[in-house]
Amino acid sequence: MEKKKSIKKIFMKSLKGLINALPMMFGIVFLLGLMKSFISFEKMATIFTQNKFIDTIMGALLGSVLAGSSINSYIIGNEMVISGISLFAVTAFIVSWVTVGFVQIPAEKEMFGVKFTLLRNGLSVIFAIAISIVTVWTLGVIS
Amino acid sequence: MENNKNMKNKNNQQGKNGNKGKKKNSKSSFIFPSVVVLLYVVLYFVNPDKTLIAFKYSFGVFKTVLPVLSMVLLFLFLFNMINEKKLKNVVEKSPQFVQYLVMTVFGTFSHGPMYAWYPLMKGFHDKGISYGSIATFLYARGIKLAMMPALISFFGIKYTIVLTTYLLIFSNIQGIVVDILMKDKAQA
Repeated sequence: MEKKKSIKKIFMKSLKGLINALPMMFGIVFLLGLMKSFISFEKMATIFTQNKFIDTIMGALLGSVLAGSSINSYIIGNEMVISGISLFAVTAFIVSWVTVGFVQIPAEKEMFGVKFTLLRNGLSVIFAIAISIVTVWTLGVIS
Repeated sequence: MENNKNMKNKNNQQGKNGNKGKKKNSKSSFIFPSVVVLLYVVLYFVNPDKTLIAFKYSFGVFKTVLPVLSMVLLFLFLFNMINEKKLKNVVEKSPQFVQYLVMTVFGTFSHGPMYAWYPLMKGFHDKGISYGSIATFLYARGIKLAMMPALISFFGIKYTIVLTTYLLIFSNIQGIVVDILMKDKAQA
């Protein structure tokens, strides 16, 4: 009986923790919808300059702003490669898409604090650039 | 060890601030969604068609997130079942790199959106898991096992293997860097 009570208490505690996070999730999901509906990728793709270095940074930043299912980033990335954008930029774009979340910053800040949120997202952008460089370099070596 | 001292101080501080902090948190957690709702209202008058498309899309996303949330609830429940004191002892005794590796595996196998995992990660941190390990988990989520066939079909198997390997390595590096920098900031 005592055990049943404590299990119920633990479940309610877990449920409360999840419910507390729901308003923020609601905000993120509905902000994503607005971004998807009002900002077209075609317009965003014009930021690429054919300069590998600048494009890699742009790719990382663009991937950080956009969000959604990772398969979308593969489809867009593939289109970018076809249209002549460097693999450095495309890789930075794909990596930052799945590891950085500018849209999620308010929720992350709420949960873990400003320091952690800025540090993690900032590092993730830098690492997306680093991963794109080492990935393309490695592919060049092994090919 | 230093981490655990910081944890104790943090817990004491939280205890002192008590309900004040909780009330402040619950209030501020409604500001962002309220701003989004306001945006919808304003944009509806500017462009009702696009706003409705945005609403329908978001509602669809929310429906797909729900099953993930039930999984998160299960993990939260299982994690809350663990005795806090015992876990703290294990965390204190186990080397940091083991924490990173475990969180890398956990992050790789988790799925759904990143924000759905925030409550569980907060629970982890409250029980003594370092910020670095949480960063490792969140970064390792970049590896999408279920989406791997799609990545292979678009970019090839070599690209997929190389990219995945670097994501695994960098998720651990990020954990180490976050722990070092967060520790420095806590000490300063």
